[in-house]
Amino acid sequence: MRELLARSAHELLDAVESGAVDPVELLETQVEFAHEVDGALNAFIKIADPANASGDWQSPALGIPVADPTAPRQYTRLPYAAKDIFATRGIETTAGSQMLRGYLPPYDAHCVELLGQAGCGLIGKTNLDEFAMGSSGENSAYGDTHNPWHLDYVPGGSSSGSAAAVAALQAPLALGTDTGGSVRQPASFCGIVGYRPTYGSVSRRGLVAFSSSADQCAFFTRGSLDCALAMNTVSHPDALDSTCVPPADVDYFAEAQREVHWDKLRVGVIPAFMDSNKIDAPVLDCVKSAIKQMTDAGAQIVELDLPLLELSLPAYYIITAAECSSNLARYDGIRYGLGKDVPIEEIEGAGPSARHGADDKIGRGLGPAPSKDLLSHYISVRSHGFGAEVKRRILLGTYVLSAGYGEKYYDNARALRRDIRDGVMAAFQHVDVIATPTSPTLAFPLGARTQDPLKMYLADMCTVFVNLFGGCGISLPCGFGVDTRGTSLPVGLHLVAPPFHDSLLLRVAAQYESLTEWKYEAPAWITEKLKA
Amino acid sequence: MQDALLDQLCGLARIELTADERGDFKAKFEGLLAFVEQVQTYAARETGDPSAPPLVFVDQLVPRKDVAERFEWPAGTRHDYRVPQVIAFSEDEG
Repeated sequence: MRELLARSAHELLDAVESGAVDPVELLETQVEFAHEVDGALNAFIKIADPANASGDWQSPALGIPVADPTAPRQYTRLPYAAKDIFATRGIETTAGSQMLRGYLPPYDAHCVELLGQAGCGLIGKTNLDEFAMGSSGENSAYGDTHNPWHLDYVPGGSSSGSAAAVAALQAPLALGTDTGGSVRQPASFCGIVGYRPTYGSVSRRGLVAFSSSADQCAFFTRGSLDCALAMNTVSHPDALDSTCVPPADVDYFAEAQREVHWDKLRVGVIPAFMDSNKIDAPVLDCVKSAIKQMTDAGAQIVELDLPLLELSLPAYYIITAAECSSNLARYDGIRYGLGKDVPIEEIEGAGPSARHGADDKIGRGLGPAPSKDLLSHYISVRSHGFGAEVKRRILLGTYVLSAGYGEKYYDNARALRRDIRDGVMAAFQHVDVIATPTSPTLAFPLGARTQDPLKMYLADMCTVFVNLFGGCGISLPCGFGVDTRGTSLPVGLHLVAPPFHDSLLLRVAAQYESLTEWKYEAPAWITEKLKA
Repeated sequence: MQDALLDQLCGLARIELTADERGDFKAKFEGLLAFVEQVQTYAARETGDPSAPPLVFVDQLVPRKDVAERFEWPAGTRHDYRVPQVIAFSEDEG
């Protein structure tokens, strides 16, 4: 049974549907293996109990076939992991923060609900940068996540644990959230597929909100066909999310398997994202090779002039900081989490910033003080519960929304976002997809950038424009590059399509995978563990 | 970054910083502001006036005068302030 864990989700689905594999036994084996390797990775905040993997946590529909056999092929009866930012009924959901320690949601996120109804089993809740703010997996209150390819390197973020879990064969599918590249960038660092669907094609109900206009449920898998399977299961209308308007009757899995006529495909390239002054050489080499493979197959390359994209990163940080300061105002220690479910005294000395040099005292140093009144209770809970990066973004958001500065920053950023969207949509009149590197760099060593938030923010320079214009994007493994320490690390190719052209994007991605020799193979130490 | 501004932001955000945090935050916040300031190049491009004066931080708004007006409920109006149960979180609720 263990050797099955290296297979892709659609291969596992074949085995389950043919009756060759028992889905409950598969879940139990997967949970057991996830436990075995997680000591080295810290990919999970919580994993199901191996002795009771198919018990308390699971939907009553676990392992039961979907009723309608004529429906499009779906991700059913297979195990999956979820970033610990998805609400899971009765299972602690922390968002990687001390602020939500002890919080037991009274309902499931829409995606979790649909996967449960499809008979899928939850392996565990994965680690993340606190409230999805970060690009390295080092901002979690529950410890750093490690890159399975080299354990002293970051896996990327903010969906760090989900990326590491899929790369280390701890799960065939993991849910993440992508607000500025939080699925695509870690997928690139871990050598797997990270797919961010169009904003509005999957419900956001039950996601702990960071930036409501950019947040999106997204997926990690080891092949793009598996993302298409997951879309067939979770891309459904939700009356409780007014922004959720998925197109009806799309069979993503069938679409993704349709052939691409490469000679008719127009691939847009943005010179600013192929500039050797901005993109590291090993990354650029791999991405250029990938684009050459597409042109060799017949694709036409079109250079796009989109100068406003250079300003997408500051616009993104203004808008998301503003939305974050508003969304995170709800954490007051009155209704849930720290201050209610867990006393403040219990977290003294712990926290996301308590690991790297000068940041040691940042975020947690106030010491427990009895609250004299409601306001001092709010301040005490918020000062202890949030880590340094979250506080920075809340204060930045408060600043850009302040009277007088609102016009200078927030309104300008919103106008810029509108013009970026118009510019990108105009570009899609001339191309079918846009290709860029996913990240300007390879994965970097743990602790290398924690003192420089701006350098950390640049990790998203090629991905944030997708969240600003509301389209869809996917990161696909396209080779390995060697960093200055001589370490070989994965590189991602980033493909982008217009809003609600997800089936086209998945189709091009699947066809690119058939062109390239880069097929996912787990790191050697994982494969050895699997055989043990 | 001025201490008064940082204090004001912390007050609005209901956050208190330790001395260590203040030092760290002030140093990094200057960099963040310079970074987001880049959107002004877009504003200048839009207005065509690169010398447009920067906006001034206003630390409080001028309050408008309250206007009081007496309202009489129509005779016979029933007041029911009970909140209806809109979501049943579990089977034994609602």
